[in-house]
Amino acid sequence: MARCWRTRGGLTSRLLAQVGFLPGDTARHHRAVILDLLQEALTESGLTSQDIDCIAYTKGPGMGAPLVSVAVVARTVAQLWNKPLVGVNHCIGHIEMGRLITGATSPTVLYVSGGNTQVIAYSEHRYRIFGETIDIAVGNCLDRFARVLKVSNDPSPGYNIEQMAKRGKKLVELPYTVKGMDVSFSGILSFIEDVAHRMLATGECTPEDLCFSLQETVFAMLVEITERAMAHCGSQEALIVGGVGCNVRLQEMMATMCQERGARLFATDERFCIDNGAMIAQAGWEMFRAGHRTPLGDSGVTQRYRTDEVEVTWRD
Amino acid sequence: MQAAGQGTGGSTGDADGPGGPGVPGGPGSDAGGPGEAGAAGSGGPQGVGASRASGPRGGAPRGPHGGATTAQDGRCPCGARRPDSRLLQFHITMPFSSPMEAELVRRILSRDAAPLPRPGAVLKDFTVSGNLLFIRLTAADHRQLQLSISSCLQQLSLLMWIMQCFLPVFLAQPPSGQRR
Repeated sequence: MARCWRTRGGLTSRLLAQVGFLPGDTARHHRAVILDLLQEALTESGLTSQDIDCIAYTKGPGMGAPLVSVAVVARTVAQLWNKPLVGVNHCIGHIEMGRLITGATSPTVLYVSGGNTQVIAYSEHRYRIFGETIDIAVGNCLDRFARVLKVSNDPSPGYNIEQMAKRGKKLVELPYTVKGMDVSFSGILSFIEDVAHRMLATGECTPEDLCFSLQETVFAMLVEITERAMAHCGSQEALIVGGVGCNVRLQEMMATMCQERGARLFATDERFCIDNGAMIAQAGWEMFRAGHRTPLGDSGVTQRYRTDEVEVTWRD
Repeated sequence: MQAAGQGTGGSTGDADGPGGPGVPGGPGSDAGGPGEAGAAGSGGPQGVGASRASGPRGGAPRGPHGGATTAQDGRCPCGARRPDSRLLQFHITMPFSSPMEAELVRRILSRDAAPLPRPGAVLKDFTVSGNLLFIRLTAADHRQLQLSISSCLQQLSLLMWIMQCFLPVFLAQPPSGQRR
């Protein structure tokens, strides 16, 4: 697979520096770069349109405007090249890329990003959601706390929170909200936003302490629900996917849990943790080989596309 | 086929998706292309092609072919209705080099044409006659219509760009369209 990515003039950093990714700005960026990216991918791989087997695109979940922009391109190219179209679930893209890169066979998956937080395990042709956030995603919680601290968005707020947390020394007690198999982060965020101003003003703690405390708390919650899912499934493998999966501390905590259970942890690096087109291609390839096709009439997008809505016919 | 608008800048797309921010059109958001748009109506959006469909008291406005538009009684076909509501319409006619291209664009754009089941949803109608593509957008709310116009024109612009890049290759292929 050709590896191409495109940010135009540091657009990614500029987008985050405002109020996070705005649908309109993101869609505008996608429209501006997608065709050059497509041409570049073909050139770099030495392929032509006749060498392409199918066109895979993200059907959802995600922000509507960017999804529609790319879906339009996918439909058009599929029509012009007379190739079948395959609509891919973004979450399943992460899972299939993680399985490909790490070699994990049937892991319990912790999918953590700015938009999603789910614990997933495969069973009877579905990626079943065993647990998830009932409000905001863990990455969203970390990013929004970064704004409270006025932490730089370059390269990303989550990364900078992680680096600050490494220098934290004091654990500030925060609400720990695990509800059965699910987790909740909005209350923690509200709480820490409130205490941050007070404690920083009085010098009770440093911003690094707060970053450390937030990570320790939310990651412990994620480790707990993942372990519970592993116990339920009798799973000996855990796989972390999604942008927050790049966090080394999360990987450490998960590794400790897996070691205690005699299980194995799998994780990818930032090339494949973070959203990328190759993961959609990988999942699309699996689906195509299994016979999935998306008719033009069904080639819309779905902002709320559940992971367990897809019939996973490419696995036993 | 003539090139359409000047790039894809302007306001946010996906007027029909939930949560899309309503940013008015910026530079480059005008149609700018060869398409012929319907006359602007008084009091409606100031964009090209906006017209005001009549309510119970006015005469029925005409569509691109002179046919009466829908919803002559002020009832939005998508189900929304307010006391003495007025419907707003935008229509644009795009010529293409061939009927095939017009039909291709119609198929692609009409996939997202089904209105969401909620009040204020924008109705989108795409029809083809020969090498002409007719687009009609109907809404009860001018803000929704404005967003939908911008989104539609941005998608058209993107489609034109794609076809400029890949259509010559497509046309050069043998008629049987060999596949691996």
